[in-house]
Amino acid sequence: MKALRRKDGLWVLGLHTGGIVAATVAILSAGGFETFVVGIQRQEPLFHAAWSSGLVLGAVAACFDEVLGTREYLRQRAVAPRDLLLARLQGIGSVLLGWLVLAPLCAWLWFAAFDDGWQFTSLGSLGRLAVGFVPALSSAAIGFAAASLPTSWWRRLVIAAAWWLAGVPLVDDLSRTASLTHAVGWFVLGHVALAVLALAVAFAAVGHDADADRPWPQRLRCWALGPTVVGLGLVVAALLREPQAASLSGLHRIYPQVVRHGERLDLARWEGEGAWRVVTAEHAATATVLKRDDGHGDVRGTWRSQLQLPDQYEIEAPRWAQRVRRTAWGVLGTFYLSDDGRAWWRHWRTGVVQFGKGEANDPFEVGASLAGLGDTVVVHEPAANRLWRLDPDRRHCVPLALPADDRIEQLDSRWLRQGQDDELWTRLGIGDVSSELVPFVRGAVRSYVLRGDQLVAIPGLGDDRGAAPDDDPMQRVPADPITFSFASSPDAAAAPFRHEFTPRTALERAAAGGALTCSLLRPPLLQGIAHLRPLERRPACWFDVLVLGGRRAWLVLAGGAFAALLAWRTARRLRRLGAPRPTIAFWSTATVLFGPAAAVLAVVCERPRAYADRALPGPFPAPRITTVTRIEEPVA
Amino acid sequence: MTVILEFDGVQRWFGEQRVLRGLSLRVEQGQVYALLGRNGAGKTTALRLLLGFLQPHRGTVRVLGHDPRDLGPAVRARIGYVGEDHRLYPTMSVGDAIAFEAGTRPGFRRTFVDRALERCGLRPAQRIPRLSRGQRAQLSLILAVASNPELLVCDDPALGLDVVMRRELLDALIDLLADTGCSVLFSSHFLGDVERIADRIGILHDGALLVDATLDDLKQRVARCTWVPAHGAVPPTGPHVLRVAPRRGGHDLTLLDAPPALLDDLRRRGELSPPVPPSLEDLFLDLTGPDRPGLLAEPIGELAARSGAGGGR
Amino acid sequence: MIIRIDPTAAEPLFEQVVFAVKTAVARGTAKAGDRLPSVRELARELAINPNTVVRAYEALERDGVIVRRQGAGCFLTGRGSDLAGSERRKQLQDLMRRTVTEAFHLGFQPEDLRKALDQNLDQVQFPEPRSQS
Repeated sequence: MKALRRKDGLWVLGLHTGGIVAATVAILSAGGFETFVVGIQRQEPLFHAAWSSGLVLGAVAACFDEVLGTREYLRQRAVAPRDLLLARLQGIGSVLLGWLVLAPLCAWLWFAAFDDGWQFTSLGSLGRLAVGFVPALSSAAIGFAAASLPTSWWRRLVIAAAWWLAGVPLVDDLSRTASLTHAVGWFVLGHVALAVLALAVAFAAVGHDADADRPWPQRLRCWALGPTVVGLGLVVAALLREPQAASLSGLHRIYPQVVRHGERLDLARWEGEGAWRVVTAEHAATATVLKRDDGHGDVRGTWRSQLQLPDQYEIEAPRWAQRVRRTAWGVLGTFYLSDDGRAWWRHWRTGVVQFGKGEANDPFEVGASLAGLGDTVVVHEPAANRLWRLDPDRRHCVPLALPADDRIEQLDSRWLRQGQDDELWTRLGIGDVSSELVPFVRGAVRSYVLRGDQLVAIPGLGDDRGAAPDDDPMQRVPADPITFSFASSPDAAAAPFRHEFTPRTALERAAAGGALTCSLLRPPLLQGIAHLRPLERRPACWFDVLVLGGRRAWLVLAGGAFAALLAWRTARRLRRLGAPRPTIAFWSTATVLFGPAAAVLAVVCERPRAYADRALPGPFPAPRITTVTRIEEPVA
Repeated sequence: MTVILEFDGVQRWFGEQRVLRGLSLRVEQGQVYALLGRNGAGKTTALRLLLGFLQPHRGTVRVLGHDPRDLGPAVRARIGYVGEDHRLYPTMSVGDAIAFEAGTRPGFRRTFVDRALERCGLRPAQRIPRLSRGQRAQLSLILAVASNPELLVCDDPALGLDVVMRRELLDALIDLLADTGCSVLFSSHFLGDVERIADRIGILHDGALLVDATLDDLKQRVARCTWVPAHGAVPPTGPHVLRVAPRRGGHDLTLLDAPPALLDDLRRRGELSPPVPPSLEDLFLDLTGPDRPGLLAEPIGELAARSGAGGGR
Repeated sequence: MIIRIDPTAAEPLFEQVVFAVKTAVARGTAKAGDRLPSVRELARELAINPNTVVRAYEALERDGVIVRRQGAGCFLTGRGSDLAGSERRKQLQDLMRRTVTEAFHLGFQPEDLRKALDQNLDQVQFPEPRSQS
């Protein structure tokens, strides 16, 4: 083992250094004070540094001997292949541990040496940093397992991509809470589970050599290609979201609008330049064109598309449930309020000062918020209904007198534009700028700005909230994206109107057909799950919006039938190649469950070459010249 | 004699390319077996099959009584291997490489290695990438034999070495043979070296052995002569004629187990030079040269018929 | 004792070694009781397979040219080869045929040849004739 560690020394050392540099830079790029004292909600650079370094680590560990050309030299050692694997895993473990311990340490030392406020370092931030490294673990395991598989470079790349591109978003999705933040426990557990699965594959691959002229053993196929099929299915489903969304929004663009003109409601298509062409109930154009200046009055469309599409497919850093209020305030410096109520004031000249309520600098209540107001900052404690204003000279907060007949709701801000909000403009005395973001205190009754140490009510400042989208006269169509019905509200002035929207023209059918085709190509297993799931507000990217919530059972069945057809063809091809029965069973099942993704993978992974039976018939050729010697029994 | 390794009807393809089409050979205890053949004849494939880096499509391979597919560490420890390109870790120094070898093979003879290093002028501080090809080859061989293997497998160990280095390598091999009496299977292009140390040679051609015989036997049984036929006489054919090469005024004949009747017949029909045994190089050229595409190993039936008629020894 | 061989020659290597030892005995450059180099020494010196040297020594021992003493090595007995009569005769015939043919082509007369043979015979110390077996 010691000797094996010695030969891995180079990459262990190199990746130690590289990873620590990358992670340190990533940690510090979010700001040392923010990271170590306040604690940040999202560590985007660290997340991306962790997974990319992890993948590189895994791949290098697995391919080191292959790249050096010492693979066969190593195979000939008197060492069991399993011990070789364990030695490599030891190397990976030591590198990961080094990153976990040394990168935060380096970043903290840098922070302590070149930044202010290190004395306020909170230990909790170290825990968050450690969690930030967890994607490195799963990525390293995935990179290692995929790169250890005995097959060609590009297949290993495809397999690694399928595992990683499905696994990481899957963990992201499973650990996401209702408030769109991530639960730390599930996040860590998910990544550890990914790593364990990948390592199981790596162990299954032990002792197998790449050989394009032989099929994989069935055990390895199940272990390695099973997860690949699942991953590829998920990725294909997620990627099909985009063309499907494009088809659906195209359909909504070409559907006719219900237009109101005078007292009437009619179906019509927008023709541009203020003109609407009326269409029949079958969506066929008529000769009638409605124009605003034709005496029809105000012609307006009355429904607006509101597609409930699944989430977009992206690889994103987790967002921790932590609310840090931070605000920059010009010459006074930067203020921070952490979620546990501690607050800091950071200034380039005075350094970092912790401040709080009153002379004693008590922390604020949990859930307090901080905002710049007037020429200083105020802290709002919603539970106690109090406002605290920072006195820059005394470096602590003093309470603000509140109007007796009002209750403070929140610290708010609003963009004011010259020419639009001129009344407020003069009332607030804003200088000569075209627009300005005005922070203010929103009360239940009035809204206020801070003048000196007094709250001054400004009428009309908080009025922008009233214009909620609910007042839009248009009807929103949320339900199904392809077929939905429109009915005029009973209290409307116009005569009652009702229309069932469904694709009727060739163009509409083509757009709907595009969306349905995308559904057919999705994995039937996922379609079935989506069919059973309720229609959520933001479904995960692999679910099909057309079947969610128990709709279109026929589409699920059609997808299943298509997959069954593909499975039959896959099985026929494999039988022709001469694959054994378990192999055929594996791919048939995979294709029935995961559709075209599995069928394509079967073609990619099972090549005719591996199954070709080229054996020559005996007798074997014998040498022309031979010396015959008597041979005893072979040594046992 | 006990069998150390054995190929039995081994067939192996790479895609459409048939590399071995029924290789059968045996190496007995203490024997030095040289596997010869032109580039691409399948020598390296055969050795990789032997060490379990590759699986055969048909046939069986046994080494030290085991299937190479599941060679455990204990069996691998009994086999020394010098790869084609003397691959060692370029990240290491000579000392590191020795320590690595010592740590991964039981029975490592430290004193032997120290003495051998001294003899060929290698210092432990030298970096592997800075070694010359010959030094790397020597180091590989020293490491391969350092743990007293029962079987040494070398894939063209002398490739790319100069004359002096080749001789050094040969000396190291001779020392090993004298010390331990281990069996050796090696492939080589240097027929002079092969003539010095091989007990038995196999000439691999087109995926099967064309020759599998002891060197002494070859020299006794194969004869070359020049024949200038009388006007109109046609060159002889048959199982005893390995090659007929036209030359000025006549033919160069390579004969196998030439019976006196054949020689008499040739003398009657033309002028025949006294038959002399060929050197290994001549024999190799005669059997595998570019003008011999048709000379292949023959089906086993014919062999049986011939050895039944007293052709074999 | 000088032992030289030519690996590319037609003769098997072990026969060349045997012949070289016999020549040395015949020329008198090696005497009875002389120790032969060890297998390892000779193999290294000639750069040949030790197995070949072992075979050569075995053949010499069979011929009675050397005797092996356990642990001490091989020693010359000082006697000629114990080869059987007909084989001896055949080898002599071969040698003479080659010599005569070469002499003919070099343009010598039979008298020159006899003279040269006598000169060579003077250089060799033949042992007392043994009784034919």
